[in-house]
Amino acid sequence: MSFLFVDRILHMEEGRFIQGIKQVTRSDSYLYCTPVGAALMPAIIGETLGQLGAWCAMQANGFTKRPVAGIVSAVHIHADAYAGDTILLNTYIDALDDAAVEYHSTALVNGNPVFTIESALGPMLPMEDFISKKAVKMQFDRIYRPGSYASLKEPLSSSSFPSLREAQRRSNDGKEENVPHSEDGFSQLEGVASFDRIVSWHPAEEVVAEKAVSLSAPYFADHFPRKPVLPLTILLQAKLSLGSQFLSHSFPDGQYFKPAAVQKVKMNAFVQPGDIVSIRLRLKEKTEDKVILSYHSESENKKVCVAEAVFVKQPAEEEL
Amino acid sequence: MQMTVDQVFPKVRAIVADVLAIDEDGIQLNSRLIGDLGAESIDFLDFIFQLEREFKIKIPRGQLEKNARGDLAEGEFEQGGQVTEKGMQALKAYLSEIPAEAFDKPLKVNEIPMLFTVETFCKLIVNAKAAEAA
Repeated sequence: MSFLFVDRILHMEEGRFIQGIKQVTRSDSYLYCTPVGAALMPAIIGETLGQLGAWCAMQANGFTKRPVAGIVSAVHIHADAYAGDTILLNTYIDALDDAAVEYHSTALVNGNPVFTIESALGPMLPMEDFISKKAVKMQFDRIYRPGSYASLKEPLSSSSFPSLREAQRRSNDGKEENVPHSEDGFSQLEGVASFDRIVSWHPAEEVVAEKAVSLSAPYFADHFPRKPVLPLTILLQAKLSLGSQFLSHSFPDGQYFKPAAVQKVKMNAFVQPGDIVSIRLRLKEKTEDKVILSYHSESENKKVCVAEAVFVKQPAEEEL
Repeated sequence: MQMTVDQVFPKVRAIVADVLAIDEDGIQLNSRLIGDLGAESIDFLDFIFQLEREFKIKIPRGQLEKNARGDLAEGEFEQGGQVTEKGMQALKAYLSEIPAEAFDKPLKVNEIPMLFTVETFCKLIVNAKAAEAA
């Protein structure tokens, strides 16, 4: 199962800008259930934008170095991207040198933003530590097919878009046929991108969970062949999943919170197969409409990742 | 008018506290970022990232090391990863805020960040602002 998400690079200005697409299909991996139907996990849209920026940075340095996850000032989750959607991806490189790449990105469906990265910074590390230069160049050549987004797909008119979404919601009412489920209710890959067990639980205050990292996880084939490390986005998706469960159990009285942003993200160390990551979540702030959760992750008493997530209150009818 | 270390310190301290998730009260001008405050290599990228935003300046990566090298060519500053005697003198002159005994033993290039203090970053801002104004 591939962990490469950019389907096609449409346009690139060396070391400055790159545009690509990601098709969301029913056979896609990393889907989750929503009232409208199967949607791509938000963190995977972020991963796709990050990979797009990485292609631009790697092409500019002749595939000698590759960026890895480092610091993200903020990402905003605007909307879901559903099966049938084409995500138009734009990544703007703000700075690039031997040490790091800095970029910001937008992901659009039918002209509407679904996900934006305000600013991200990734350290550049030697390519050969992670994957052979030849292999990564082949991956790039496979998807670099310049073209125009407009010629790919007739955009839906913005006025008809909401009613089409509503029709899709009605057609999926009570059905979750797009996402294969295991017996405990997780979709197969929601499980992969989730935590494994809760080790302490204090409603409305704090929760600690663990995620065990196994070499059998499907993302390790591509991330990376020579040095398997847990993708930051998988860890963030696990954090969001923990946050959703924490909030639904902490505030069960008809309040439903949905992740809207992730901010102040920093990956301090690689997490490798065999590691167990502890995820400590604390309620940082709660207002009528918004909750901020802070996360601190460690493995073997070493800090591996910190982040904050902003959840916003949803109208009752959007509850799952 | 040129900014001073004292003027930029409060903002730099706030950024260091934010980046390292520690209390501002424990941060002094002479606090060593790695030894005293527990900074890791990714934190240095983060400092630069935040300082650029706060002070609206551009700090090329590796600028601190470049400043420390002064007029010396790379080969004069270090050989085989070891800072040369001339390099140690240049380092001592640039990092004048660091106690002299820190330069008694020759350093490896990758050990240089161990010397950096909060004041080192304040000076970086002051110099970048001065260069911008020039």
